[in-house]
Amino acid sequence: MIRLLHTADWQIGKTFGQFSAEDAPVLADARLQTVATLAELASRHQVDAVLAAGDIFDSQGVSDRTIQRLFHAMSGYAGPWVLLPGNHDAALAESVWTRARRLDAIPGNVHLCLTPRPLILDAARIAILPAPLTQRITHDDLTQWFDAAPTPDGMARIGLAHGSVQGLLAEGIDASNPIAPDRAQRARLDYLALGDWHGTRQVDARTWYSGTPETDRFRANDSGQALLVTLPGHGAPPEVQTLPTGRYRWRTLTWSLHSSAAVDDAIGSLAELTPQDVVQLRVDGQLNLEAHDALQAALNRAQGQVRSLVVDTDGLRLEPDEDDLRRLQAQGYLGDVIDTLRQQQQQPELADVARDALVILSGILDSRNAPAETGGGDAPATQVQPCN
Amino acid sequence: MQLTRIQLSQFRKFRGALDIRDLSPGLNLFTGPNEAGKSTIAAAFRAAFFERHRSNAAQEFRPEGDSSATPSIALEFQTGDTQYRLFKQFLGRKRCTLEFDGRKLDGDDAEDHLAGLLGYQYAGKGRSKAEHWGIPGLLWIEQGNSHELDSAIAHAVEHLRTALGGDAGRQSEESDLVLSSVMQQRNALLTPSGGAPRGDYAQAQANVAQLQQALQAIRNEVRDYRDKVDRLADLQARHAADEAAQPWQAAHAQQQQAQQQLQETRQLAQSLQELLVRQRDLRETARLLQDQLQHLATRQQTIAQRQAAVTQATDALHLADAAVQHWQQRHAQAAQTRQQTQTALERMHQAAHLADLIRERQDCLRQLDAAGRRLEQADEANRSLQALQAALADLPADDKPLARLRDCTRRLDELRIRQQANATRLQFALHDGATLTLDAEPLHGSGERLLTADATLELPGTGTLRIRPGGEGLEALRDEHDTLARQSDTLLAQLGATSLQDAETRHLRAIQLRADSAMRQESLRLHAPDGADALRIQLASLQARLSGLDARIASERQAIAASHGVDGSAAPNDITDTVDLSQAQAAHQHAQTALDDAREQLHQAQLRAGAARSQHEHAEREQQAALLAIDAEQDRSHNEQWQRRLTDIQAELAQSDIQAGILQQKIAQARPDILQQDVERYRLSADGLLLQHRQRHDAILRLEAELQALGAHGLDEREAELAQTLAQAQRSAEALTRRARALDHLQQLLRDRQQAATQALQAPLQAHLRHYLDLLFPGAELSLGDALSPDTLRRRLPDGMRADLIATLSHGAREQIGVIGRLACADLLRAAGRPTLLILDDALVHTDEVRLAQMKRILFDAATRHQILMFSCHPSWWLDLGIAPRDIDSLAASTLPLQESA
Repeated sequence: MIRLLHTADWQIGKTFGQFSAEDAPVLADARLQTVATLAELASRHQVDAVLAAGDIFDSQGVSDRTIQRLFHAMSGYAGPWVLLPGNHDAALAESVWTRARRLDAIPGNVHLCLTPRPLILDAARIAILPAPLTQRITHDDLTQWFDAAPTPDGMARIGLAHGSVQGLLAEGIDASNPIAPDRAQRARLDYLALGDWHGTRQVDARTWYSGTPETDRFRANDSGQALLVTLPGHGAPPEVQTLPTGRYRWRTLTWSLHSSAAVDDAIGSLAELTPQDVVQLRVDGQLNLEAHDALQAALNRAQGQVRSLVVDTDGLRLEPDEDDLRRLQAQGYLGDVIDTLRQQQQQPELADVARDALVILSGILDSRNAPAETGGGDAPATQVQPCN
Repeated sequence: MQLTRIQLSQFRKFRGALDIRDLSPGLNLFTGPNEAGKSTIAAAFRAAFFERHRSNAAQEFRPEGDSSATPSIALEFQTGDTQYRLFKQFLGRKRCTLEFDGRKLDGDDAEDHLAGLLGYQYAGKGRSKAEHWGIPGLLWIEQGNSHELDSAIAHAVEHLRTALGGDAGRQSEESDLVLSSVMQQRNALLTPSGGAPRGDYAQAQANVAQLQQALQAIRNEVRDYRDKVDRLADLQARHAADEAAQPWQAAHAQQQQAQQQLQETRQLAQSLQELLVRQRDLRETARLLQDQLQHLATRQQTIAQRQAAVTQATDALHLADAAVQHWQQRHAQAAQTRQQTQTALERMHQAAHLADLIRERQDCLRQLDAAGRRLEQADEANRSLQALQAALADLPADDKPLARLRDCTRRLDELRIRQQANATRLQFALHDGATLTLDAEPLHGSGERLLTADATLELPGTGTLRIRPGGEGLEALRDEHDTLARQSDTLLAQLGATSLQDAETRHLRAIQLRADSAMRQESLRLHAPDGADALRIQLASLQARLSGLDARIASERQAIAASHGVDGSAAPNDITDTVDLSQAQAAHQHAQTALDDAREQLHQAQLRAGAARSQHEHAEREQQAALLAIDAEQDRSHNEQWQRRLTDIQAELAQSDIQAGILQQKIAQARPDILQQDVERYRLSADGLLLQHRQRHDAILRLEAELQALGAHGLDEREAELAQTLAQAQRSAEALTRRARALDHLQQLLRDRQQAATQALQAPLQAHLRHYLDLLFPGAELSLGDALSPDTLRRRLPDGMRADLIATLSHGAREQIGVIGRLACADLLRAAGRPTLLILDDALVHTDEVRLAQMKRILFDAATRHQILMFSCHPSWWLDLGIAPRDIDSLAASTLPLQESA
């Protein structure tokens, strides 16, 4: 029986520009910590090897320090790590791998598959057939050589590749770096460990995408885990078990709010958010100024409760009512102005500016009516950010 | 508002103090001439309100030349039930106090309270300007500004709206505060006028631009780095391929092969060169042989030529000798012919002469006959001359023959001399007794003879010696001499003389006689012309002449007979035809010419014969020499030997030409020039390929080093970080953009509303305005603009309605409308319970008398509601205003300093 930990797409060095300056480095750092988590899992499950199927680094030009930190993060598992270059970190003439070698950063138990030659792990009784990318993009199936590649008898034949299985994924997604869907069968592989797809995905009984161990996008894709693969031996199909590895949950929320009650409910639902959440919130609907203020206040509070909260309120309309006007003591021509702004929200070209103006005006009036709160002219603290 | 007291101290015109008390609650008129200080009072009043007590602009309030003065003002007034006292002192001891309702405000507090009370603002810094003056700026008309209503209302309109709004006004005030807050926030992000980003917003945009630039720069670096990586891979692949294939080896082998071919071709060329040298030597030998053979042939030819030359010379000699012979015969014939013609000619001359004599005799006979018939008549006349005539009769009458004789004799002498010169001299010296005979002349003893013709010397007992004188031309001379001698004889006979001497003597005598005769005849003609003597003399003369002639004819006939007698020919007629003579002369001349020609031809022929002989002898000598010079046998032997050798050489040459042709063809086919180029080309190719290989290896090493250095920079990571920073900066900038747009939008909306609120004040103001307008322009209407200022005046004129823009009205009319507009505003303020005070400083100076009267009614009416202070330099205009004017000069200036408190 052979036990493997299958992972891929670590994307070390990736940055998160869509987040604030405080959140982005934390999310980047989480990817390194996840590697430590993988090492810890590998040790705990006493696997024979860890297979990382490409895109270990997010780019060739990561800093020396990042390289050093990665290999240091792997120190928690002393067994063999088998690393395969992907499209982000292809084995070019000069690459992050040649640099890592020059830096002498690669520990002895880490095997780099920079050429398409079988890697024999005698102790583990594993023969690994790697399909490293030596160009950034290729349109050839680099796993083709697996079919005819001889491996020592009695050793498990394990394929390791990075690319898109043809016909499986949506048309146009990673159409380059193709991999034949029946490669495992044709090459008589016991298991084919794939990378490139960031969500965990089974292709056939012996072929899996492990997905990235740390989620890096909002698209729901079942990421943030690794695969514990057990080969019972004698050609029996593998048993594959997912192990959670991700630190952060990436969530997209959409609220459609049309009443104060709905706002209260929504605010209540914020309570379940944790510091592990990276949230993208889209709000639309129609609210009076009071409910809007309450929502903004709740969202501002929630900023401290989660890892990151990005709110998009472009779809929200403000509808000041009599209570609002009374509360704001909007006298003289101010009432007229508020009414005009309210109506202008219905004109597409003015909607955004009218809503923003309403929020500002409401803020000014609030601050005048509550002289204790000085500096009421400031913009509301809500992050109004485009979601990318 | 009612002003009760004004006090000034050290203020401009008033170096001391001024105190005006007991001001009326209605109209107050201050009069005085120019420079009296009216405007100083107005200015001090304005300064008390508008200028901060700390203002440095107050310098101008000091009296002229008094730099230490401290201008000060104290005012007492009341609004509603409240009494106020304002004290303000500038410069030296800056101070401001306001006392009312038992309160006392100091400094800025006092000033701010005043501004709120009256509705105006202070300048932020520097001198207070019209835009700050608000409502007082409208109601307190400065000198010369009464017509400028628009700007005054514009500066006051905010205060008016606030002051007049009542509830709505207070709400408006609230709104205005919101507006100013919005403006303040908006102007923090956008420039007030252009709306360009400023402050944080501009900074955020600049930050974005800067980050974009930096990102672009690092992306360029990344791209460059990636290109280099690709190039490295490419270089490595090609290096490996070359290392395996070693393409320069092939080029090197090709070079060696070409070199080999070139070497072979060069050997062929060497053989050809040797062949050509051999050919050259052979040709040279052949040429020498040919020269020698030629030489032999030439020698044979020379001998033949000389033989021919001898033959030719012999023939020429024979021809020349024949010619000499011919010409000798011809010469003899010509000489004979000439002799004959000579004789004939001489006979002709004799005959001609005889004929002349006969004609002369006949003539003489006729004359004699005639003279004889006339003789009787001239007998006596001629007697004296007869002797002379007789003497003359013997003598020749003509001189010409004598001249010819002289000539003849002279030529004979010359000939004789020449004959003697050329003559053969025969000198002899004979023994005594010995005699020799020369041409029948015996010679004795010794002597000398000149022989001019053939002579025969008789040697007695021995024989004869014939001597032919050989001197040149002697024969001709002799012929000529004979001719001349015969002529001489003829002439002597003609002259009847024996010798020239005789002829000369006779000639001289004849001359003598003729001269004497002429003298006698002359003397006879003088004494007896045509006398008998003359005739007798003539007759005698003629007879003498006749006889002379007869004698001569006889002698002549004798001579002719003698000459003809020799050949027996008949004597010619006495009458000889002159034609015959000329023919004879011509024949003789011809014969002479023929003789000369023959002689010349003979001479020439003789010369040619001599030359031919000499030529012949020369040719014979040459032939002889040539024959002596050669060895015929040896020549023949040489000739054969050389011909054989020549044939051999030519055969060898033909053979070697074929050989050379083959070699040249081989060389031409091999193209050594191209082969040389091939060698060079292959060598360069091999070198180039090897060099390229090494350079590529160097390039790989360099590129690897470069990439190692660049890789350490973590370019991609830096790019990602920068992109992240940029995205964050863009979000900040975007948020500011949205905020700026929203604020701008809000400001615009609020302003529009504020404008609308202002317009709401139009109607009440218009109502107050109509109150005064009816007094000034009955039935007219004044419309107001958006900012409350009068816009158009509509009047009913006799010819219908007329509308005028205020700006187009006369200065006077605008002045009047300016005043009533202010009065209407004051009414509006009063109705709202706001303090009002009107000041008119020479406000209606352009107003005519009729309008001024109306304006007085208006002012009087207004003064029932408002306190009005008027200043004028025309006291007479205002006599009917119903109040007593105060003369500025009469306001006694006290020297007491102003008290801060009443």
